[in-house]
Order: sequence, then C-alpha cells, then structure tokens
Amino acid sequence: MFDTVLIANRGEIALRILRACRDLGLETVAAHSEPDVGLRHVALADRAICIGPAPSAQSYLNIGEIVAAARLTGAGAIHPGYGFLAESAVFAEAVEQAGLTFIGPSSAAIRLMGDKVSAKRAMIAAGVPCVPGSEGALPPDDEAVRTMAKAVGYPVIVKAAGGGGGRGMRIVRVESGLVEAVSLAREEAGRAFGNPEVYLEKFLEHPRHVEIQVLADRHGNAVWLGERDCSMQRRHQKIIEEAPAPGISREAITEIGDLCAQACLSIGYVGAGTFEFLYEDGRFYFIEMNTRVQVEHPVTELVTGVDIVREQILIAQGEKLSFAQKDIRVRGHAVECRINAENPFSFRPHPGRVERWTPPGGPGIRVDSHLYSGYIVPPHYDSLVAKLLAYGATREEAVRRMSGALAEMEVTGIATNAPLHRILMDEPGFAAGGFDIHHLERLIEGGLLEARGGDDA
Amino acid sequence: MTLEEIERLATLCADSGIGEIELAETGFSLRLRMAPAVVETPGSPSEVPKAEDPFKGVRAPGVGMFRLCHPATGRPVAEPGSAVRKGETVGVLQDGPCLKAVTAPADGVLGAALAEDGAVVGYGTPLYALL
Repeated sequence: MFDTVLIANRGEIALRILRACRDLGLETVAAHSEPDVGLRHVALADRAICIGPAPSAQSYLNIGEIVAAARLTGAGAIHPGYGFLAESAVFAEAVEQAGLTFIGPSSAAIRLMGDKVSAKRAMIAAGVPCVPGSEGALPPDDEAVRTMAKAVGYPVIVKAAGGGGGRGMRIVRVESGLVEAVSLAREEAGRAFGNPEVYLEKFLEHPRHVEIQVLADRHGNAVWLGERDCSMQRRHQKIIEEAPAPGISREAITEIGDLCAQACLSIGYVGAGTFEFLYEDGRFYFIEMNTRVQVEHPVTELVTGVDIVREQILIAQGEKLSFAQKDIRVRGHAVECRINAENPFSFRPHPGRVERWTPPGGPGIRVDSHLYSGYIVPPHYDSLVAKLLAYGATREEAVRRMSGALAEMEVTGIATNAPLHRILMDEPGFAAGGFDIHHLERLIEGGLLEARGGDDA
Repeated sequence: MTLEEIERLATLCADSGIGEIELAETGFSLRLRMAPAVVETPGSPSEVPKAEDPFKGVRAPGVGMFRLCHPATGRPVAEPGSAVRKGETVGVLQDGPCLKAVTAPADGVLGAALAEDGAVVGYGTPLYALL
C-alpha cells in the first residue's frame, strides 16, 4: 500500500490534504506550478517538484507531467483535490494505468456521473428523485407535448438540447402558452445551435441548493454524513455554506441520505462524493454528483466530527469505513464563508502581495487557508484564499461567532470579500435561514451594494 | 457630494489603480489620495522588473530523471566546456522508457552540470551553466 501521496493541487486544499497525510503518517510530494513555489504546502511537504509554468493547462492540468512526477518521486497515490483534474476520468484512468492509486472513485464512476444524461439515468434507476421532464427531445406532436407537460406539472421550462446560456429557453406557466413557447424555442435553438431539438423540465421557482455528503469504501459500505445548504450563491458560485440545512426535517434528510448511500452501492461508487439537489416545497431534485472532495466539506466535518479527507485516503488504501450509518450524528451548526481575493462589491479579482495576515481564532472557529504575511496571491488561479468556519451549538451561535471572526480577521495588501460576508451575516433573510439560490442576486438587484462600489455586471 | 458617493469614488479609484483625484463643483472641492493597496516598485509601470530568476543557463523542460549519459548509447550527451548552439540537445530527461531532450536556450559554452546524474528534476530546474 502507498506510503507517499503526491498532491496535484494548490492553495488551501493542497495544505488540507498535506495535513491529512501527516496525521496518517504518510509522506507528501507537492506538485506545483512555477509561480506557486512559495505556497505553504510546498514548504511543508517532504518533497516538492515543479510540474510546469503558471498556466494551468501546462501545470495543474498536465496529466503526463503529474503522473511522471508521481512515478519518479516514488509517490504511490495522487490526491487531485477539487477543481483542475479532480473530475477528469481521463486523468483517473492515466493514474490507474500507471499502477498508481487515484484518491477518489474509479474512472468509470467519474465518467458515468460526469455525463449529465448518463448520471440522470443512473439516478432514476437508483430511485433518486430527479427534476421531472421529457426524457430526450420533445416529439413533433403538440398533443403529446401537452400530455408530457401536464404530467411534469406547470410551470415548465423548455430548453435547447444542444445549447446553454439562456438561449432557446422558455418558461411556461399555463398550458395555453405551451405550443407557442415550444415552437419559438425550437426556432431559436435551431438558429443559435444548429439543432432545433428541445426538451422540457419542471421549472423550479425558488429552489434551495441542498447537498448530501457520502463516503463509500471498497467493501460495500456507504454512509451519508448529513447535508449542506449552499443556497447563498452569486452567478452559480457558492459563497456561504452551512450544515444542517435550516428548516428541513431530519426525517426528510434521512430519507434522501439513505437513497444517496444506496445509489453509491448501485453504481459502484468508492470514495467521498456529493449528491447535489435542488430543494423546493419539501421535495428534492437531483442535479448532479460531484465525484471529489468539495470546497465546503469542512462544515460537515464540524457537525459530524468525521475527517473527510482522511477518510478519502483510508478508503483509497483499501480500509473499511470505521463507522456505520448509526454512528453518524449531526451536532450543532456550522457555517463557512469563502474568502476570495476580490473587491467585495465589484467582485473583481484582487491578486497581490499579502502585507499582513492575521487570522481569527477562538472557540468554534476554524480557518483553512494557505495565506501568510508576505505571500503573493498570483493572478493565474481561482481567487479563494481562505475558508472561514464557525461552529456553534445553534445556528445563532455559529452566525454570531462568524460575525466576530470576520471582524477579527485582518488581511492587508489584497482586497477580500470579507466586508460582503459581514453585511450578509446581519441580513434578515440570511439570519432567518432557508432562502433560495436567487437570494443574493435579488439582494444585489435590490441595492444591497449600492453606494459601495456597485456590481460590475 | 454625499458620503456614499465619496466612498464609491474611492472604491473606483482603488479598483482602477488611480492614485489621486481632484474634483471641484460650485462651493465644493475634493481631493482623494489613495494609499497604495499593493506596494509597487517605484518607477513607471513599464519599468517594473519582473521577478525573474537571473539564471540564464540550461533548464529542465519538464519532469524527469536527469541523465548525463544517453541511456541508449551510454555516452555523455554533452561535454562541459564544449561550444553549443541554441536548440542543441545537451542533456536527456528520462521517465521509464520515455526520453525528453534538454536543449540549450542560447549559443554558448556549456558549464559544469548543476544536477547529478539520476537526479529527479522538475520544470525549470537549472541543469547546466551556459557561459
């Protein structure tokens, strides 16, 4: 079994992986790009190797160099973190074929869940609820379309099969508008994508984003570790996550959680993973599965006490899960704020030299960050520089601790979105909990950031 | 001008890197001088030196095991002290059966090898001085 792990990522997650390896007595190799030589985990790793220049395509996405680096440094396993190659079936396959261990699911499972159509089919087969809709393109017959829409339930959304970005999309609220909407969408899709095929799905007006964390070993055991509510988003980017999800009964979560664990077994899934759902009016609708560790995994760690990255590595070593579903208890409440190096109100990235970094602390506070005074945030990569987490016995306590931690945190030299988080901690909708995925954008449209530099949309 | 407008102006200046701005309206004038958010090297932007490694010799083009002798022939790939041309192969990186050529970035005289035979090197590792 492997005793050395090559970390094929950067920033806070690379440091997080290094710490998990250290706890397990494993050696680490930091595979880094040229400008990332100053990263914290590069300094702490047993060995570091530069895999390419700044552009990700030539470094963190360079499969050949990463696999060669692992082979040459004697690393028996590669941890991909999140982003970059973490959900690349081609990469997982290259690692498998090199005789190394990919810390994650098999390339076959990544491929199955990475394709929207095959993933949805697999989930329907496993009994996981999906957004209802027409399976495939709508037939030319109007009456058949009407029957389908009725079965799905209004409002429905008509989408181009070959497109995205809002073109060829129509929301239909009453049956009388259906036929015209379908023909308009077909026309638009044909013009925009050269493919007039459209399909139909139930349209959710006010969905929340609720996801289930799972862990599955190679011995047929799968558990779910509660849920996370990640509804605070801007342009589909999560900025605040919490666990548990406010206002959803434990029975409802248990029901969907059990289905997810079952689905892992039925698709032969191994490792850590997340089933993402939209949640509206008491129902869950599967949207996709993330076949990797997620940015927001620490909120689950805080409320369950399970070290998810450690478990990922143990599973990859062929170990059995050391706990069963009945051992998993969700206690208290955890909130995570993603601290990005960006202007808090215009959202423009703000790389640069960190003159001084003073992280917050105290009971219930956890900071996952690669920052240090003097570190230069490079302009080439994602702007996430820290994850600030607060735990409390209740949601109110966690939020209060988060407010304190945000006020306490000091970083000079770069701008961060901490001021936005401070506003959001006091915002009535956030304080109440249970808001939908459009909440932040609605607040911004309503003038939340006016006179503060504005949204650069 | 309201306080909010001044704050907004300050944010705009900070974002677009404006150091100082002066505004005048009837009965009102304002001068904003921004503290530099990022400490910059003095001088015009075109003069800002890049954080470049001064090393001008031969570097590894990627990840591999540095070989002084060609694994196929067993003979040295390049002799220190010999004149080399830009683009000439002066070394080999090995990864199992795969070989990668190490080439000279410029004309010059090859210095001593800076990495040992069999050393695992990464992208950009200095391999030879070039005089």
